[in-house]
Amino acid sequence: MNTVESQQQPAQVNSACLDFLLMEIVPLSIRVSQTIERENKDKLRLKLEDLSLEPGTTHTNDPSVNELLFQNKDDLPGTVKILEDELIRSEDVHFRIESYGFSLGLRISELLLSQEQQTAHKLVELLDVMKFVCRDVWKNLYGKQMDNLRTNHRGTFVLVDNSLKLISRMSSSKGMTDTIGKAQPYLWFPCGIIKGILASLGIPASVTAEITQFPSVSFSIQTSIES
Amino acid sequence: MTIYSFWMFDRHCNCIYTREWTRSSPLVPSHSSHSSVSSTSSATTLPAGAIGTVNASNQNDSAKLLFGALFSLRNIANKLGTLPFNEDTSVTDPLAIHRKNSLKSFATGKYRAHFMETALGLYFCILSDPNVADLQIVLKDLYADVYVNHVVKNSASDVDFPAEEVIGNESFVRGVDQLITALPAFA
Amino acid sequence: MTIYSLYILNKAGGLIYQTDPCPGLNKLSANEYLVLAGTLHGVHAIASRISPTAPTPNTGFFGTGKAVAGNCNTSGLKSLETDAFAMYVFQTVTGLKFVLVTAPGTRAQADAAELVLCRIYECYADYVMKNPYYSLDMPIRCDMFDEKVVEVTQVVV
Repeated sequence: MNTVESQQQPAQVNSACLDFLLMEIVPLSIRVSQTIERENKDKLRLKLEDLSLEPGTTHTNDPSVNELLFQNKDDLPGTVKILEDELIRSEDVHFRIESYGFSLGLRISELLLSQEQQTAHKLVELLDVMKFVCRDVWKNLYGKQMDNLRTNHRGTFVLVDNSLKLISRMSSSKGMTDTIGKAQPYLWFPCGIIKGILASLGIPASVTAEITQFPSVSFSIQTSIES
Repeated sequence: MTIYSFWMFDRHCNCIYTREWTRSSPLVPSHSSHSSVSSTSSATTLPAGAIGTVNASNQNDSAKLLFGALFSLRNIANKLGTLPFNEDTSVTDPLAIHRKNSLKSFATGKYRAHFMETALGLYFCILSDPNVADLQIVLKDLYADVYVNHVVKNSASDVDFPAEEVIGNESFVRGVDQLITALPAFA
Repeated sequence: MTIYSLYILNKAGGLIYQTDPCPGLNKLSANEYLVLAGTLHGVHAIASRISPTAPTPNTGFFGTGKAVAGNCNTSGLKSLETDAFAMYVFQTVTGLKFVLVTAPGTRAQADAAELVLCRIYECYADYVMKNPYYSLDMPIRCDMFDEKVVEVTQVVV
């Protein structure tokens, strides 16, 4: 992705760096959920101690010394044990990842539409908006356009990407089902992006994604607008 | 001309990947005291039609011996050799003065071991027939194409392996096989 | 073929002779050379044990009952290539090792190095073994041997 200053040359960043950053989205939200859960448990325990229903144990707060960056003892840097945590399927994590995408989507549409005034004028119908997502947005995010766009002309759209960059390199040592299971949370991020873009244009929608044939992904968008 | 096997060791001195294309396994078997411990490091399953084994010898004595030999010879190469400081290359390559002499291969009458060490201390080693000339480019491709694409960029794979964990994901195994079996040196 | 150094190691891996006809390698301390020799001795032995092909059956080597020859020049470390130098090792049946360090080269150079090492072995047999004042496995201090080694290495360079 380029950052555009109107007078200067666009600055460029190695896309591999961004890929690595995006890889951290799912582990990050799982760890946030774990921390929130742990804090809730601690608060509960302290409350019970106040009511002297449990023997008081001193609450130690030392961070681990050697290499652990987080308090989960399996979660060593460089390993992906965090993806085995059951929280990966919780509503919390789902919502958090989708909202990362949502805020990104809100801003991206501003950025892209400000660059090219002609495109903004052409966005008359819902179908044009969808085409904008398939062509311009995907080109900017993933370097390629969406491979397929289908609609029932009643507000439902299906967008297909044959090789979604976020998950195309994923491969688990436990086999294909495990790989698909671990790839699922990553899909909420582009769902959030699409949702954010539609929201910024004033179109409320719900977006879901499913892996039809790894690494091909299909996004289903339901809007309430008849076109 | 044959290629016998491919080994990878990480900077913690653990063997993280083994791929053997020999049909018989005359390698030194592991001590019985170690083999009962780990159930996680059992041999990885291969795609259909492929010969040999994957990750079957990671805890063997032969893996440890190979690592020891590579480590010692690499230290000898670093200590004994000097790379001549060339004025011309130092312009294009500012780190030239820091480059250490590195081991490329060693051979016995029965086999030749080709070796490459990455900047982060990862060892790549291919055992082949003594007649096979120079596989440095192959080792570099294994690192830059296969390892980076299927392990580093893979969000479902570790990059820093705890003890006795190995690289087991299917796309990496396939990538290695594709690269090596396509070589003219592979019988 | 530029010869940087020649080392001779005894049966136990101790360094008993060293000469450096051409500069080109790092200068190390005496202790470090001894450690180097010991390491090479060890790696030579290890290399014969990690062979991916089965050892050829050899019923009772010299009637000792051992399956493989103890001092094997075929299965132990023979050559080593790095960016800055190439090293060739020749082990005799008696366990003595001759190590030649040269500038990096091709496969043809390996054969030439083998010949040089054989010639040095001949000089060793003539001027060291036949020297009544030389004790076995001790550091070699024979002037005639030194001269002959210089002659052999000069011819090659």
